[in-house]
Amino acid sequence: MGGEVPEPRRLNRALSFDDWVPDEALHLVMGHVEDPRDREAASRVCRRWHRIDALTRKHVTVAFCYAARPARLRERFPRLESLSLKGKPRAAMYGLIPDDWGAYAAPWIDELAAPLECLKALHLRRMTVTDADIAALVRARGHMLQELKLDKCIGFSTDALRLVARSCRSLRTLFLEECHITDKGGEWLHELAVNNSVLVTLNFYMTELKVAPADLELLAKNCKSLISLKMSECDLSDLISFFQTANALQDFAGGAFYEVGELTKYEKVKFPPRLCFLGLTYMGTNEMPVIFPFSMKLKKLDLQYTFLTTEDHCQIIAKCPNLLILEVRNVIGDRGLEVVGDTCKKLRRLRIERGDDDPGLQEEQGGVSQLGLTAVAVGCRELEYIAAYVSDITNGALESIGTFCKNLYDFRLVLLDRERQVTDLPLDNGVCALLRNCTKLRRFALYLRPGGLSDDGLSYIGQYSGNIQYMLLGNVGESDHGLIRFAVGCTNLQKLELRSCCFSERALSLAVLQMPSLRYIWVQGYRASQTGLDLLLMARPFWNIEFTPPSPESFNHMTEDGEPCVDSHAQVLAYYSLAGRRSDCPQWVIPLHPA
Amino acid sequence: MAVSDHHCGGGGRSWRFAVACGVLSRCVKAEAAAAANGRHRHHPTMLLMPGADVEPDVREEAAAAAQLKIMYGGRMLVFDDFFPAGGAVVELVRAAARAGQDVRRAGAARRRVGDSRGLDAGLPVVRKVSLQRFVEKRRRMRFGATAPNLLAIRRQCCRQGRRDQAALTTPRSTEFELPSFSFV
Repeated sequence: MGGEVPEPRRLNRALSFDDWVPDEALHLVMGHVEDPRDREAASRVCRRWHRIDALTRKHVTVAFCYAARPARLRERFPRLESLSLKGKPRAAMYGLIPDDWGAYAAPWIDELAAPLECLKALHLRRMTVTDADIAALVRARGHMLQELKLDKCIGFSTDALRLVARSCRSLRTLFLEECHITDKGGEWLHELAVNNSVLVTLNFYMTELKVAPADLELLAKNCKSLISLKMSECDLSDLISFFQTANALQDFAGGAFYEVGELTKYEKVKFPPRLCFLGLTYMGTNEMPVIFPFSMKLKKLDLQYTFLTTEDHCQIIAKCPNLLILEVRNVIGDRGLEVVGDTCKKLRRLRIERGDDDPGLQEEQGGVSQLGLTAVAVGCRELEYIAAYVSDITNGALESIGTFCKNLYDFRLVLLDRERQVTDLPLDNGVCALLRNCTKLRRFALYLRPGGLSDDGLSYIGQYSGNIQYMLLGNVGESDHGLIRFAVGCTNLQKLELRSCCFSERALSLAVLQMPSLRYIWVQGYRASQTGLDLLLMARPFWNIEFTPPSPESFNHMTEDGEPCVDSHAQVLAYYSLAGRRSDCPQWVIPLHPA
Repeated sequence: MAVSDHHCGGGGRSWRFAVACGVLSRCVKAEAAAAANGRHRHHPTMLLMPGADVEPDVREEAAAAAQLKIMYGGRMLVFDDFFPAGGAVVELVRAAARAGQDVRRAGAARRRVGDSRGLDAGLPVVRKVSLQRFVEKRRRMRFGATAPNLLAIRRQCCRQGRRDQAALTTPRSTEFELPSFSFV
């Protein structure tokens, strides 16, 4: 059979031998089918395949924690080894979702930690996790846990980490990046160093936890397998002993340069011999030479949190021809990106963040435009991921990306709003060319300004959306008609975020009903109707609609760290759920449903 | 029917696995319906080679049928002592597994450079929280140009928790103004 779909005649013949196919064989074969989409297709063949898929499934990702009930997951996949859960809308990463919005880990841990006897890896993203939740997890699974990833989570303290450190001796991965953790002392790291000897990855980057360098050194001594350490800020000169001990280290981020103009102090720093992923905080012009001796070996460089000028970026990147991943702020400028294009032929991922907009800061004058993006597109043809905040853009630049970056699967472009003049709007033709040529694209984000994309451009996005599953669109389109034309084309889109668009509630509802694969939509900034009830036009079975009104109460709501939640524009969240309506909505979230 | 080990044909696409499963599902349903109708009817075993006069060589067939080899995800899987006389099923399973190879390879390529941090573009008017903290610290560092002051500020930034930043930062409302909406 040459890979063709089996003919029904042959299948009938095959089925006549159904009694001869042992469950064990199907069990074994199914165990080797790893792609989640293939698994999903196989589980729908018949009840027998459904049962065997369930028994052999090892990893499940729940893309939204309110889409399913924990008990249902347990019943269906009793032998799970690895579980990923996502919580709050992505807008939480930008301070747009208050901390007490929900996404509590407790129901999942309570239901799953004990019964899932094979569970050894847990990954929670943007969820609320308490010390009690972690205690329950440790009690039930501490002896088996190998991976614990709490990604941008809130609600727990170092007390929970101490418990993990004491009880989870098989832990290989502890990931806490960008979590908000109440710091009650650094004992947790000491406990981890004393009790663990198999740790491979430790990440508490951007957590502001304080740790003692001596404990890091002890950790390196006891965990010969430590390959990756991403930590909160710690003066680099205090880590000299750690670096001497951590011989296997390949990935390091978080050391900081506190002493200005005293290179002598940092000259003594010698990085481990295999280091090839690096991110240093507050590195400035005078500190750059620290990395020159091994820049040729660097595969990943994170310069987002540095004090480098455009010229500094040019100088460093020119010495890093083997980069696969580069993360910078837009201070790199077009000149820096030209150096990237000339030098980094193997680059796979490029992220250009938005820096400081204060015009008084000399070194932030760079800015990225079509010149830099075109240089990168022409020079780095292996790129799979581009995320860029730009000050200016043209259709031609997007066409270049489409022409040269055939491997792109994730593209995100944000047009900053501080520049008055943009060279070439609307971007309809450029977007069209990019989408037509980048056929592997799975995620796409486009955040422009009014006039940045017309209804025709929006129609192109829908028409050429291909296999794109996630989109973020901001300030696009001109009218409801554009949104409808967009929706008609999106056959595979599963998750959509819309912000600052001019569409009416009615158009949003009709668009939702038009997209067959859509399971999640988040909207902020739309044209509200008189009654607010046109959103109910999208009501349907298993579809939850939640409205956050733009009220003074919402404006005055405080986040956990005492800062006002500054964003007071209405939000709409709607999603498919097998779990029914949320039972833990805060007072300011209003579920909408037909009477 | 002899079980032959033949390699994966090129050009298989990810949808074929799903389509194959769909076809199989429909046949299972049709089979169940037929069984319900003919539950009292006896089905004699069909010769594998109807019309042929040759007596099948039992030993050779058993030996060949006892082993299953499947290529999936770039790997050769060999199963012994499975599928006695089930050659047709072997073909079916092999086809289904083969269709999944391309998806498997594509997934592997994507995972190779996977980043543990979910980096993604976002809403431009507001900055990512982690980057916003960095920018705020940096602004405070700018206030003191001399080295001793900068050093003190840097260390101070390190010691302060996120809660304390509110008192020192400029009012965020001026920084995070949304673009004006066209409300009708």
